[in-house]
Formats: sequence, C-alpha cells, structure tokens
Amino acid sequence: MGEPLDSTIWIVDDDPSVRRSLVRLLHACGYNAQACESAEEFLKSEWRRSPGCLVLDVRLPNLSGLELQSILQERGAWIPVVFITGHGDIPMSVRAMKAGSVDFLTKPFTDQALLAAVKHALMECEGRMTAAIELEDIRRRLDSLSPREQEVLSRVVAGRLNKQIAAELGIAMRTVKLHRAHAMEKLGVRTVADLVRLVEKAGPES
Amino acid sequence: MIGRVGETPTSPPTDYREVFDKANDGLLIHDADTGEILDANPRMCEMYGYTTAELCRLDIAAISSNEPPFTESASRRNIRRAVQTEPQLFEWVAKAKDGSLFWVEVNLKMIRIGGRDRLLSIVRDISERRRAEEETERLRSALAHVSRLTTLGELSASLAHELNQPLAAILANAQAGLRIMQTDCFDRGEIQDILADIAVDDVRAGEVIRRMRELLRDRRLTSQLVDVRELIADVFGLVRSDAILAQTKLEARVETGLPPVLGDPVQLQQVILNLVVNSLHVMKEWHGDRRRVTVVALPETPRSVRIEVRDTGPGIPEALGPRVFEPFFTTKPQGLGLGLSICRTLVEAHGGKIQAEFTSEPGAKMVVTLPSGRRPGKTRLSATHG
Repeated sequence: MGEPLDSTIWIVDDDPSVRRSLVRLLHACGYNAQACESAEEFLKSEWRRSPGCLVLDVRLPNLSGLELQSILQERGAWIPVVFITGHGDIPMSVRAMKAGSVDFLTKPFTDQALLAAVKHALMECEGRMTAAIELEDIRRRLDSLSPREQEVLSRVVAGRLNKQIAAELGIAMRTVKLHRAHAMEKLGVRTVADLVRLVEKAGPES
Repeated sequence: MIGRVGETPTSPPTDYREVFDKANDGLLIHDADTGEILDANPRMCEMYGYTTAELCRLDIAAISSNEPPFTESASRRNIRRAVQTEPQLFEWVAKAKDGSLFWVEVNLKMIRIGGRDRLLSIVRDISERRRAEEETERLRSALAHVSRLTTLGELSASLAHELNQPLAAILANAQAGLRIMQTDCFDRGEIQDILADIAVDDVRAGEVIRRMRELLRDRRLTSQLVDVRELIADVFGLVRSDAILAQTKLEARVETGLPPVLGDPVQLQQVILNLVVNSLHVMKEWHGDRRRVTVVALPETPRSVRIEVRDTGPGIPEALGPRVFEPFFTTKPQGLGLGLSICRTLVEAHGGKIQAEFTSEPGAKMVVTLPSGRRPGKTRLSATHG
C-alpha cells in the first residue's frame, strides 16, 4: 500500500519467540522481514542495501536498543527506529522519542499498532532517503567548485558586495563576476536567495 | 589453700520428702522394670490436673499426646534407654486430664530408693518458652514475607517484562495465524507451528507467574530437601531481565552430585535472590568490563553445602566487613538496609552461616553455608536466632 516493495523491516529482539512471531506477522502482512538477535548482529547485516525500518527492543544484552539507536545516529544512518519494550517505562520512552525514534510500542501490541508504526516509519524512511540523496547531490556540486569559486561564493553568501570581494581577494571586479556566474551555474541556482538556501542545506562544513 | 582444717559442713537433712513435695518441677517415680508410676509430686499433679492417686493408676500413654512422634512406643523407648544406658533429656507434648496438650521437657534418670532401682522423671512445663519460640518463628516468617514483597516490588518492572515477552509473541502469532487463514489456500503446517509456539509461550508465562506466586505467598515454614540447582534456576528466572538491564551475564556452577540442602525452599530462594539482586544493583551502577554474577555451589564438608554469590563489580570495602549484615546498614540511597540482615536471620534459622569473603579477586563474594540433608524430616529448623 504505497510502500516500496523492496523495503525490509528489521527486527532486533533477543527473545527468539518474539522474533519468530513478529517475522511471521509481518510476512502475513506482505512485508519482507528479517530478524537479528542482537544489536551487534544487526550492525553486521546488510540493512543499508534497501529502504526499510528497524523494530528494535529497548532491552538487549550487551549493546542495548538505545545504544544502537545512538550509534546509528552518529553514523548518520537514515533507518527509522520503532522501539518495542516489555515494560512501558516513561523516562526511557521519552529519551527514545527525543533521540528520534518514530514510535514506541509496549508489548504486547496488536497487529494494527505495529502496522501503523511500520507504515509511519517507512514514510519517514522515504523522506530521509530523499533528503539524504538531495544532500549528497548538493555536496557533490559544491565539491565541483574550484578553490577560487569557493572563496568568492562564501563571501557572496556572507553578504559581501562584488566590489568588497574584489578588494579582499585582490582581483578585478570583472573576474569576481565571472567566478560568481560560473559557480552559480555549476550549482544550478539563479538567485542569491536560492544559493543561500542550498548552502544552508549542505550544512556547516561547506 | 582449699578448705580449712577444722571446719565441717552442717549435716544434711536425712528426710528428702520435703524436697519432693515442694520442687517446682513435676517429679514422677517409676518402677524401672515396668515403667509403672509409683509416686507423683504436687507440682506434677497441678500441671496434669490429676491427683497423685489418679496418676499412679494411669499408664504413661495416658499423659502423652500420642500424636506422632509423641507416641507410647517412643516413651517406652526413652524409658528403656534411661534404664539401660544413660539419662535422657527430651521435649515432649503432654496431655492433661482435661485433654489439653502442652509442651514439657522431660529428664529421665535412674536412681535407687530404699535399695530398689527406680526411674525419676523430672517434668518441666515449657509451654511459655515454646510459645515464645513459635512467636519468634512467626515474626521471622512475617519479616521474610515482607522482605520478599519488597524484593518483588524492586523486580516488578523486570517481571512485567518477563511476562510481556511471551504475551507479545502469543498475540503476534495469533494475529499472524488469523491473517494467514484469511487467504484462500494456506499452509496447514504453518498454522500448526503457530499454535505450537503459542502453547510454549503460554507455559512460559505461567512459569513466570508460578515463580512470583511462590514468593508472594505468606506460608508456613516447611523443612524439606531442596535441590540447589533448581534453587538457582528459579532465582535466575526471576532476575533474567534485570540482568540484561544491568548488562550482566548470569552464570551458575553447581558441582555434580551436590547433595540437597535441608530447609524451607522459599526462604532459601529468598536468600540467594537477595544476594543476586544486590550484586545486580551494584553492577547497574558499575562501568567495568567482564560483567558477571556467578553463583557457585559445592560441598564444603560432608554435611554442608557452600553457595557463593560473586560479582565482578567494585566489591565490598573490607573495612565494612560484617557490618553489612547489621539491620539498617545500607549503601543504596533508597535501601532500607534490611536485605542482608534478613538473609542472615534466615540462614541462621536454617543452621547455616553467611559471610562476606575478601579475596584478591575483584568484586564482592558472599558465601552461604547450609547443612546438607540426606535424611528428610529428621532435623527440625532450630530456633537459635532470637
């Protein structure tokens, strides 16, 4: 129902019985589902290969669910997390939600609750993947600029006039205009406002 | 310089009848051969409600409860031993004329009166003492029960988790089954697998509830042979989920052929549970590696079993030593400080010992020593701790 057919729902739970039943349920609902018994096993898996989401038990031996979530976040992973837990502990769920999980289900949960959370997570995944692809594209375009073009553009974004830039870099104003036009063409933007938005999207490192 | 020359003690009275009549313990004189009662003093009559003449007509069976083990044959055996070997001292349930039962302590000893062998029974009413002991035992059970409730309260989140796991699996399996059966042609084998899994998880949930109820019940103390391996397995079953939260491995090492211990299974479980929960609490706050709580059980002597609860946490400062067993001693901000003191009370009531051991190995090590049991029902839980 609108989800990409090749998406995979990953289940990480240390309880074999819970794993087996959830895989069965998701299969019965027409999803691809894969189960791991630990956070470590999940990290070694091929979850990056396809879009999907992670149904993650909070309480796991060794690396806990919350720890796995923060590792994924540090690595800038796009996979959305639906937490499941055997006991609805409010501070824990608040922490998880703040850290960006899309849902928090307390066991035992109904198939409707799980499916709603999975659907929501897959939509989130699509959004995050689109954003990630766009970001990748922007970064690639920014990387294609020559050093001089980068120097000029960073000053344009900072609000300098052509005349000031020419003076600061010790080059002719005509040259500044040329660099600026080239750079904007490479980036595919037409106005300074578009340029600023694009650079903001790319983040602080550019 | 012992004694002085020229001093003689005052001559003792020769008529001892006064001693017999005024003694504050009941006294009976038996014929050593037949056990027949020949005389009884006023205190004896007062305790049992009979006159001396009545007592002399009665058989010893008539003044015993006759409930096993306080039977006629047992009293004959005691008399025979006193006559043939040595004086006997034992506690006994006696029966008064009005049928009421009461506890006495009986001392049987051979004496000679008028050149004949007689058996002297000195009978002391110990009902008060027994009542006090029973009261102590009742209080101890009540305290142990309260402490179990507290421990279970601390474990409630974990136990909810233990119960919600199988419930989640059952629900997901049932709903998967319903969905599968809605399709036109479905695999009957798969439905069978689902139902089998549901049954297994149901049994598992029931087991969690059984363990909880065992601990929750306020029950009479029993004394039975307890398998140490099962004891540890039940404790681990209760704390499994807490151990995951503390990111700590649980390990049990029970020597093969370990004899069972003798005691109350719930109280013994409570002792081990308390020690394991303490270790897990410490591990939760501890950031070291090799996170492990190990319970080791091995024979200590041919008649006792040693159960060690070790962790790989920061350990107990040796300076604290036995103070950790004192009531209200605690290092936990929310702790009452009763856990270990109750453990000690329970272990000592079982005739055992509990102590912290300090070794060069890292972590805390608590050692419980309990008498091992080969002969069921022989040893009574002694009430040595008041």
